[in-house]
Amino acid sequence: MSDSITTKKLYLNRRKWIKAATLATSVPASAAAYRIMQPIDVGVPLQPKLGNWSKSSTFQSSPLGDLLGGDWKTPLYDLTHLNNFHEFTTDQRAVAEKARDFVTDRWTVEVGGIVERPIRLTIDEIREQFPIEERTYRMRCVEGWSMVIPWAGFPLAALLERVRPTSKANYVAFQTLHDPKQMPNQIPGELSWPYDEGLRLDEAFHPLTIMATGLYGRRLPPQNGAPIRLVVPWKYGFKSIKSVVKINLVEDQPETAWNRAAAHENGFYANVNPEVDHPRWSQATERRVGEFFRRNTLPFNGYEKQVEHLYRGMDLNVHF
Amino acid sequence: MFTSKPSALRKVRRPPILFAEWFVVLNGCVPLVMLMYDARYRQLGADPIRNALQVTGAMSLFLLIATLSITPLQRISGFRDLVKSRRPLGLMSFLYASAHVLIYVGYDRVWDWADALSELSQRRYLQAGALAFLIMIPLAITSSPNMMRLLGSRQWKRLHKCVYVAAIAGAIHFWMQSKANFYLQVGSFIAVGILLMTRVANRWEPRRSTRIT
Repeated sequence: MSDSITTKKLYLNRRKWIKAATLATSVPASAAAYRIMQPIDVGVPLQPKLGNWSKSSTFQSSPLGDLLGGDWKTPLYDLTHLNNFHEFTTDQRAVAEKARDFVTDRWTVEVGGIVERPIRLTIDEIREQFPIEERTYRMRCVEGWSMVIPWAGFPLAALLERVRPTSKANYVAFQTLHDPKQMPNQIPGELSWPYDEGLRLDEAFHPLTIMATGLYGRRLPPQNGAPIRLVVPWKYGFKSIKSVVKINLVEDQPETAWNRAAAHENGFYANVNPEVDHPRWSQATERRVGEFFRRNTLPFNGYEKQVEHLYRGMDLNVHF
Repeated sequence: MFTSKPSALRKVRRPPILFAEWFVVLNGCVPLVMLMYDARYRQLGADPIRNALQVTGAMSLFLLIATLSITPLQRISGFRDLVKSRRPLGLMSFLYASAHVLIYVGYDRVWDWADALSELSQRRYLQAGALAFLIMIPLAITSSPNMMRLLGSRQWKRLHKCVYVAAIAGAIHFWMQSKANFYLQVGSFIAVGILLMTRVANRWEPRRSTRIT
């Protein structure tokens, strides 16, 4: 009964409805027309869009996936024009230009060491075999700035399970490509080449730890570590090694590039910790790229709930 | 003391916002909102200020041409409600012109008024643009029905004929600042020219409305 009354009212108000519908459809149409005439231009060639990519993963809706608390994503322009990638240049704003022609088509990643089934995968095989999902993480650089980055990637655990580490494996060691022809700044200097990094096995298997192959729904740009990189959101950025070619499971704690260069400044763990200062500056606050005021740095970069159990009983002032 | 106001000054009750106004304002704001979004997300390319200036300038001129084409279109189509979109179109054009000027002074010249004025004294295309904008200011202020009544129909019409000067100056400004891609620039000139000619032609036509005897 009441249904039919509403229908009659609607019928009588049809002119209003037509007008409302015109407004509701014309605005998106105008927006689409504007977008065609004024395409998005971030000032860099855009990478191809990702294929098998799901924005809403089961991870994101799980308790672990509630990671961000409403932080703004850092604009693509900033993500691609403020990079620490010393293989190309130490000038953060120039990496985009220097890395522009970095060729990553015939990329392979070796996963081996003390494992049952070492494998060697091409980047295409990785793209096909590991379903990727969006993971928006904070990234805190040891230099005191931070970003919020919508990565696309898959858990490192998925890759490690494939090779079946033996019980002797305690650590995972990573290596960046060594190719001075393509990476002009791989010359003797502060860092030793190839860049290497490492994680403890439980850190590597933690569900937050991912191998990223994209950002903002597109493939990784060269300056961000194309074609595949590590992302460990609760550690300082230098732990998230770029353009990975080798992953080795090892028994002893591996040497790592920045630790080798300055052990008193860069610990093996390098967990984000506002209470342990860098010898040259405080780590209590950070500048979020795009924001004016500094914000407080959070313990474990805000992922304390998820990862704190990994370090229970450890003195984080010693194991910084 | 306010009771002795002349009737022309007394405000009438504000009429409801018309569909035509909703339509023009909502759609007209889309480019501005998207421009601000693109600016926020650094999607305006290598020269964002130039890009924003181009978008706001072009929008202002095109909306002005749209404003001028309403009357002839209404005559041709006989669709009387069309005229209701004329005022919002003109005001949206003014909104974009204001944004254009603000971006120029605020971002391009970084609020350095002396610098902006010295540029203005040297560059013809800036003078044409400034003329167009200055003409639009009184037209925007007197666009309301209340102001129309205050001025009286004849005065108001005389004043608002200046919109053609603004359109021509705007088209010249658009032409002179461009270095290539003349299609839009030439198109604007042709459009303004045609619209002006329809107006002139109308003067020679016998007036239908006044011929009732």
